[in-house]
Amino acid sequence: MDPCKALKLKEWRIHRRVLLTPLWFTLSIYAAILAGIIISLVKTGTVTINEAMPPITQLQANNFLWKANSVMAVLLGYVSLIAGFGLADSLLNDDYRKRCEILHLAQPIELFRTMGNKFFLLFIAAMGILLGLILVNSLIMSAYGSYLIGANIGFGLMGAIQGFMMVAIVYFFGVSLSWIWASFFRNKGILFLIIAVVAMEVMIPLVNHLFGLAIPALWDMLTRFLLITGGENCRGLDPMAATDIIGEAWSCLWHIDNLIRFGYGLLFFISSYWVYKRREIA
Amino acid sequence: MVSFLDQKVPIKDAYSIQNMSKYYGKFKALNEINLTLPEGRIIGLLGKNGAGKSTLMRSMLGLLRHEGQVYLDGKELQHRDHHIFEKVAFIPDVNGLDDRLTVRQTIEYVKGVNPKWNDEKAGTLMAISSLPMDKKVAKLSKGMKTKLYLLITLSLDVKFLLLDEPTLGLDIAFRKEFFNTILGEFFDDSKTILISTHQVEEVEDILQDIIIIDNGSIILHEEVDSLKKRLQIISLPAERSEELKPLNPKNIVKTLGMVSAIVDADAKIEGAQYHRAGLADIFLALVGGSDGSL
Repeated sequence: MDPCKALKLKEWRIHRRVLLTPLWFTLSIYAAILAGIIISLVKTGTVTINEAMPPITQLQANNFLWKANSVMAVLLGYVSLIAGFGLADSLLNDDYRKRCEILHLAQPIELFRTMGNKFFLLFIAAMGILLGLILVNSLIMSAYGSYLIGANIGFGLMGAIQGFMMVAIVYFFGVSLSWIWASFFRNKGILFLIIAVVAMEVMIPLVNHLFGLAIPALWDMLTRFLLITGGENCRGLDPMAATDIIGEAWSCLWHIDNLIRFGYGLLFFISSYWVYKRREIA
Repeated sequence: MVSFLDQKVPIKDAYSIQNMSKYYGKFKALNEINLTLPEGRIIGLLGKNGAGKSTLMRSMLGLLRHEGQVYLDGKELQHRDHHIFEKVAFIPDVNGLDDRLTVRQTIEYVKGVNPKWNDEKAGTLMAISSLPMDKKVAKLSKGMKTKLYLLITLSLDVKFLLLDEPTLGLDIAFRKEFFNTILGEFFDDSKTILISTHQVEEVEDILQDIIIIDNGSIILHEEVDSLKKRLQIISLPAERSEELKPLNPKNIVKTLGMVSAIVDADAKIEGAQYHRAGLADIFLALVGGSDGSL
């Protein structure tokens, strides 16, 4: 077996439950819907879904479907991001906590390959799973939206894909931040991250006040890069035709904030290699 | 350091450590270690708990940062140098396996990441191990974990095998089986085994060389046969204990009206009883001695 495949397979076997968090979340939503239907059937003998919609134009229907799908994609993306925060720490530090670090690191394989394959699982595999889920959900939502309000399925799918792309960049930044933090701290990395952010939040205004500086608040920076702020960064989308919305969303992907997210993410990932390599394995 | 440490002529320089020191904060865990492990030897690394055995092994493997140099077949090794593991395999202790994987997954993993994996050897070892392949490692008994660690380690074509307290917590039957398997399936005259333990008796019969480490310093490195020929136990009735003093004895033990001590093999006292010194006796004499030297 190729060493990279063996590394990926090992990480998948160990971390697949966390990696599949968005799947469990999606299944729980479907299960809740199914439970609602069953309860309705048991109580009333029939399934009554209020499908009465006010009359809307084709443009509004397409807009609605695009937005609904992009919101679904972003919501699932954030579920992935929350799981990814913990997963980054687990991938780098669970071997230490489980006392098997030596087994894994006493192998003739370069550290950058070991770390690269862990990051592959954290980013590429997680995003692959997320994209698959988003597309399946989107097909279901779009088909239903098309049936209910006559919207074009294509706009729904496009909304899902564009929502995914927006959240993927945020995810890359978020997990890279967690990743570098985890490379510093073997234990309680996330807790230390929170403490550091709170401490900086207190320190920055103090330093600004004492030295007359204008250092921006860290929390503002973090929320700026961890939240999707399309509405603020790009023009309002409501009155536009769906085709214009799609065009606008593509251009939003090249927004400076996304470039900064990508740049920082890359920097965090590369830096973490040097931090992790300096670790002693006891 | 005692004078005979440097008398040993290595067969071939293979694993060489020069001026290795290791600090944990201000605490000096290893103190200027100089050591050469030749090919084709079974070497015991003995020391009390906390003497520096594990630190030495982990430093040799590049897992810990340290002062000084480590050379493997003439090439200097760096901290976290993965090339080390092309020639060296390491068993820390049986709890070092990954509990989250099954036996089969553990074997597949090591086979996948380690190009030194030898399928033929692994097949032989698997046939005699009777390991439950689909059971999680966490569910294995300590003995089964030992077998698994041995299997994945002995299936590698490496020159050096480093064992750090590999049988800790195992019963005597498993300990015997462990060392028999290593001797039968791994050792030949091109390979070297370094076994760290503080249970001296269990490795006494298989060791060719002995290294004793105390307080981070190597205080003895000698062939076991020469050491045993060089020293003896002499016993006298307790009331004649004064007669031992001119022989510069170590670790005088009083039992059942007799006094015993380790002295040079050529020492003679009329009417005394003489016994062959075991490694445990020598170890105790050395690390428990008043001045720490023989």
